[in-house]
Amino acid sequence: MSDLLRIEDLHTQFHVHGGTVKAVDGVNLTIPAKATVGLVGESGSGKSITALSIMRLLEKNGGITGGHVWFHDRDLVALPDEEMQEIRGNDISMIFQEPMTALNPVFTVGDQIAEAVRLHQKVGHQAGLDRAIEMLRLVGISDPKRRAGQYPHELSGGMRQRVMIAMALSTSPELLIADEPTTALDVTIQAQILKLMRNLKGEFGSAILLITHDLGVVAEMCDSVAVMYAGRIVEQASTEELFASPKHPYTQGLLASIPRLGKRQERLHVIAGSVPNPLAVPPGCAFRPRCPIKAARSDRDIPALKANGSAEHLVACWQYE
Amino acid sequence: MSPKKQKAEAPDANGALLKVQDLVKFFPIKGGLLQTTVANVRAVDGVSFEIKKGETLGLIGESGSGKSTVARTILRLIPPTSGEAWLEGRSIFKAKKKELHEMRREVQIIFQDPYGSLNPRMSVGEIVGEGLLVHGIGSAHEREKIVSELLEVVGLRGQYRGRFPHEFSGGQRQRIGIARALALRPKLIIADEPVSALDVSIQSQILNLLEDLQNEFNLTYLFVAHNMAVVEQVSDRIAVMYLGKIVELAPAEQLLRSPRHPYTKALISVIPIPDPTVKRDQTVLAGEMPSPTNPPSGCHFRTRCPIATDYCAEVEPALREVTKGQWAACHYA
Repeated sequence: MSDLLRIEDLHTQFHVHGGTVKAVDGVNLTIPAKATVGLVGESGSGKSITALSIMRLLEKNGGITGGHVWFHDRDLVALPDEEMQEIRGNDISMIFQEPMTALNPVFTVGDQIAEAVRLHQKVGHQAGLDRAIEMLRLVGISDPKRRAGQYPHELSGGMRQRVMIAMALSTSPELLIADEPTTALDVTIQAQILKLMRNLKGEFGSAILLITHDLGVVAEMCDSVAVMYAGRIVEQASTEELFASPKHPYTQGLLASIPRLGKRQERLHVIAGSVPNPLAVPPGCAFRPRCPIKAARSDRDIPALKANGSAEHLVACWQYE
Repeated sequence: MSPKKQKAEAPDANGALLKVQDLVKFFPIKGGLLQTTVANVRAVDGVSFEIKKGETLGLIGESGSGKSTVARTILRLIPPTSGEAWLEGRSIFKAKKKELHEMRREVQIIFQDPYGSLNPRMSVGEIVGEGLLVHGIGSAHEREKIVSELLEVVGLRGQYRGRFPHEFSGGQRQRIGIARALALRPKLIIADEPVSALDVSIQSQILNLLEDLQNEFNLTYLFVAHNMAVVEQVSDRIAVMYLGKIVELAPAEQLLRSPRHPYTKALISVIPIPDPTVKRDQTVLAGEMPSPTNPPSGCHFRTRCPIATDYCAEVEPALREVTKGQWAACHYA
């Protein structure tokens, strides 16, 4: 498979009261065409900021300070605003955790999807609306004609997420970035949305960057997965490989500490401590204060993400050097 | 014994610390010129269960199932519409002001949101010690000592007393909330989604802490949550709620291994499992939970149930014992 998106040494910083936060601190990540890649991490790990950096949708107090985001042969980081605008929503779409913040409350959902279609595909009003209704039907909304005339607040959370997916896919993007798309939903509704995403993926052939904190969702949806900690990717592998033989102490700890359905544990494994203050990330490996291994050099130098065992299994830990 | 068939009398012989019977909570919807009640949100619609001393009962359900309303009604944070609840045989709902004041020492709550549930203007010492002050326990100096001890018990430093909530991480704040709940040496702790706002690596720390405290202080827990794996980890028995009713109640292991209610079965089948080698048949339920303002006739689950029949629309299934210790509210369980 050819690479659709290649992130190279990406750095994104925010200026906040009290200093500079290196939210993304040298991320490398490749998304092959048509693949589903998971990006997991806890709050503050930088996974959402990585996504917003790809889309160039950062808040005013932040910006990309280094690196490249290659989409085909164009560097999105260096692209003029108008060209980025063309790509955004057309070639790369994004869906969010809370659809209510992404949908406009004063327009009907049909109009909003039609608007997206018109903007990017230069079709007329009626053609846009027809496409909107077609998309609503595709995402499993019954009576799509009537629903198209409704406003976001008239829909349930699960229904709104379907609308957002319909809008994101209406332009048949090559890459769909989904940031915690089911986190706000109940389990039975989450199952519906995940099933929908799997079906639509077959239909549209989009690659998906799935950002989540839920390792269960990753196991169910992703071909490969990257684990983020304190702004960096610490491990990356195929999903099966990562779950079967995690190599980074953080990944190992994470997998050991989740309660398993139907397998009650005498006592849960614990990763001691908590994530570092983003304004005071320790030197060397950011995980070192919580790490049971504390390999030599990890107190001074940041370990690079390197192949270990196979070319596809990457890990950033000094114990393997 | 069916909790439904029992008469409303105070039982304490069988070691139940908390007994809830036929609990109903409707929230009226007012409308029209005269603001009369035009409809009711039937949040809790006839719920019965008991919790033994030292036991953890998990109460699981999706949003709108009524699980948090059950918790809040038991605490008398909101008044019930009908039904009864007893703490060691004493009626919670009939308790007068003084009795209630006493009972509030014995039943404490831990909230979901470690940010919203701590007053940002109060120091950690004031937050944890507030209950002691309200109940007139100890001198100022003694209270200070108790607070320091409590902070140590939940894994924080005693000298953090003087600090303020914003200086702490989410996990540490949840520990502060737990210390506050422990301050009055309660018998029952109601934990309402205590780990759902926390990251995975912090979640396991808090779950282990809750278990340690239970052993150390002989606590009884009502653990309200939506995450089945988390509930299973801490609970002796699990009650599953759907649209205001308990649809299944069983020992944790039994519920997970052989669920009997179609809702429980479907729920368990779609919970994502962090193991890509596991392949299962999922039952993805169609539609959404109906509005509690206008629940379906008969069985509340029938509109989404894969095995519903006409009979289910006519007759509401009672919660009955389908195997020893396992109760399900389904005609076909």
